[in-house]
Amino acid sequence: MRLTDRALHDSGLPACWAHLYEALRPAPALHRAVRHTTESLNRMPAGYRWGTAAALRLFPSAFYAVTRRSPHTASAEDARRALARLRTWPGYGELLRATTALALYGALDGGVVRPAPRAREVVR
Amino acid sequence: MSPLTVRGSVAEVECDALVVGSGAGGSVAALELARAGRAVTVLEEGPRVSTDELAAASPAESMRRLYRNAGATAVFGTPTIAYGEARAVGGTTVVNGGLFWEPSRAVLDRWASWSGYGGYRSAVVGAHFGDIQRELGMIVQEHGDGNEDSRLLARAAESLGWRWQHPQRVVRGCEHRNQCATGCPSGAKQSMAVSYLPQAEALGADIVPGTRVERIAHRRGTVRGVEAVDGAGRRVRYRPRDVFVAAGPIGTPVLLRRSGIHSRTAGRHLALHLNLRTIARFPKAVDAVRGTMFTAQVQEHSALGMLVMPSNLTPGGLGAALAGRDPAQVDKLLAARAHLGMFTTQVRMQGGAGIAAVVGGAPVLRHGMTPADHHALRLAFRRTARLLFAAGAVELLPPTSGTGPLRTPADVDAYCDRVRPGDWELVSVHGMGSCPMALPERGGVCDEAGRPHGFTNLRLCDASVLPGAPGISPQGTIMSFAREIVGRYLESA
Repeated sequence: MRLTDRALHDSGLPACWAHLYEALRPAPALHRAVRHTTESLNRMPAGYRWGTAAALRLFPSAFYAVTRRSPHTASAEDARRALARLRTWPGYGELLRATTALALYGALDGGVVRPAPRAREVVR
Repeated sequence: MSPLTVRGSVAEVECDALVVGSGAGGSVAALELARAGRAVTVLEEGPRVSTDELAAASPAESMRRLYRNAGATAVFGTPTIAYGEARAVGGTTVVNGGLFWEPSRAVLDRWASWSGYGGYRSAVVGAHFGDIQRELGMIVQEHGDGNEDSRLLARAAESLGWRWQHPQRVVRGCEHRNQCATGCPSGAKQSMAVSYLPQAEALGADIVPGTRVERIAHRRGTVRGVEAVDGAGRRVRYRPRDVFVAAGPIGTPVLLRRSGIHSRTAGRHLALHLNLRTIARFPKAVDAVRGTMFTAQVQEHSALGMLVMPSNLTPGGLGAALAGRDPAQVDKLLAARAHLGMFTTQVRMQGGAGIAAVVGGAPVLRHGMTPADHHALRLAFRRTARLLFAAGAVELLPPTSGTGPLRTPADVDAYCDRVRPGDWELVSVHGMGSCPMALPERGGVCDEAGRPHGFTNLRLCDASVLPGAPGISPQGTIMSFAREIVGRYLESA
């Protein structure tokens, strides 16, 4: 089972990131964040992937339970309040910290292409 | 190496010396065996990534490509620890700092006493270390144009009368690109991928990336075959004369368990160094992204298993370290990035970790951090805080997301009094000792020759054989032990 960018977007979590983090607000940065998050999660063992996929699928319901709104249409304030609450829920605290870490890493370190190296000799 | 037959869907390959894994231990085995004229095949699960490819990729791409589980393997317990190791040709030497330290005489003597084997004391290990450091061109890494965080740390240590040192590294002309942890983009770092492995290839070794070893088939203590799956998903059965397993501190015991070799003891214990990450804000810009990984290490408390050094700071790494904090605070801190430094305090863990189970071929890791570890972490944080305040820091963010900035020693004391074991956000990048070289009655998995007890043509030669955690970056120790293991084999062959 592979997690897709679409599935992550459908969870509404990226919409919350864009509200909450300046670094994730520009569309290219959010795109890099989503890509790095899904591709990283897809490199994890099956058990972690399934657990994360299930938690992400339940995220809109969890968000609704806290705010009575969908994460896709929530305001920045709703998103802030909901994520602050969800961080205290068993399991969601870890999920939010791990996925946010991946998202920030992907957005901030995912767009730099480094200059070509000088030719070097290997050790002989 | 010569293909023999294809039986059903399984290709069979006859070979001489088969090395499983291409990190610090496997590369030593590959090169020393090739130098001795042996026909060597090296199987590596991960990809082969050239320096040009590293230079063209973003750090995030390299993180995904080079690390096992994209860099976030969980060690469950209180708290969950993030464990990082590479999965690529060259192993973790591709993503480490190239630090190269000799294990102390005291550590080697302690290991000898515990293990019941006296052949790996300072005279032997030190001689190998000396040879390897000369081959790899070890240097003392002085400050570059950047590294202001290291300069501040060194000055603070001097003001406190604490011992510090420039790191010893295996680099040739470091360009201070600050990307050690995602693969050196200039080729300066002498990872195994640009040093020992190309040399082994020049002597005829065959390096096969993208090939995962599933099982070692054996009978009466003799390996009969090694079953693997190649990059195209084809099953291959290697029929080697001798096998050297260097799949890493987790991969080696998992492979032994899958193969029914010392299933009860392999991986039962795993020694870890824990890293505490403290973010410090300075009144002046430090531009910690400029400079190589770090150029000063404070060793005043090394006898307690504690080392303090700056981290490889990147914008993404900082963001990831802050991810558990309030988003508004994350924005403010990222905006103040030029004034921030991130510092690592390495602590030798006393409580055990280990492989609790293997589910679907993947290990489930657990640790049992003890009250003594919690005490050591609090002590380590207190010492780090003292050092960072002496360095001029005006604010410290401890590795606990729920805690705000600490601005005075009194804040630090209050934090240390109330922090609970589950609050720590810990990282580890050094796993060791999962198949220790020790007498069987002392919990050892392999003998002094690196052979799992009771085996003749199978040897282990990576971090897994170390009897414990050396309290320093272990690459030099791993390579020295591997060289002795292969040397003993060649003498006896």
